Amino acid sequence: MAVQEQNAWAMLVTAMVGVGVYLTLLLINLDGSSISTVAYQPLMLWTIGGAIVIGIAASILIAIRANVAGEREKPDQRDREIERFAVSVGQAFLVIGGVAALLMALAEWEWFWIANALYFGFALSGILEGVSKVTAYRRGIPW
Amino acid sequence: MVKPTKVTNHIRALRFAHEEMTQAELGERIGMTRQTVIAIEQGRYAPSLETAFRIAKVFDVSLHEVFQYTEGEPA
Repeated sequence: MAVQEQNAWAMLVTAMVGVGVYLTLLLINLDGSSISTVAYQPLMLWTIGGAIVIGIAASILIAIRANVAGEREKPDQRDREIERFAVSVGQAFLVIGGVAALLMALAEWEWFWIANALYFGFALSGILEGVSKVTAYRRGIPW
Repeated sequence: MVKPTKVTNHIRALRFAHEEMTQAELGERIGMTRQTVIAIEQGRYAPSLETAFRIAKVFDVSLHEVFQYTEGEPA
C-alpha cells in the first residue's frame, strides 16, 4: 500500500473516531434536558485537537515506517489527481455545513446548533474526502 | 465492480519481454511510483498521454503496441 493511501486511511479513521468520540461524550453528558444545553465547547475543542494531534502523529509514524522499509516515494501525477478528486468531493459537505450554519444564524438559532452544523460540515467533509481517496486508490478515479 | 477506464495495455507482457523489468524500475524510468505502474497495468488508472508515450519509449515500441482503446464494456 502506498504511503499516500496509508495516510488517507489514517485521516479517514481519525475523522470517524473523532466524530464518534464527540457524539458519545455529548450523549454521556446529556442530563435529561435538551441536547443544546450540554456544555459542548470543551468536548468539541478536545476532540478536534485530539484528532489533529493523532492525525499528525499517524502521518509521522507512516513516514518513518516507509523510510525504514525503503518504501518512501514522491507523490506522482496519479496521487495529485486523487488528491484533487477527493478534495472536490469533500468540499460539498463544507458548503452544506456552511450554508446550514448561515441559515441557523439568520434564524437566530442557539449557538449549539450553529457550532455543530459547522463541526459536522468539517467532520463529514473530512470523512467523505478520506472515503473518496481510499476508493480512488483501490478502484480508480471515476472520470 | 466497474473499471474506470476502457484503455487496456500490454505493459505486463512488455516488461517480461524486456528482461523481466520490475514495476519499480519501469516506474522510476517514467517518473511514476510502483503503485501507479500497478494501477496502470491493472486498468485502474489511465495515464496521461505524455506518460503513455514515456512508457512506449521505454519499451521502444509504438503507443498502439502498448495501449488499446476497447469500445463498449471495459475489459
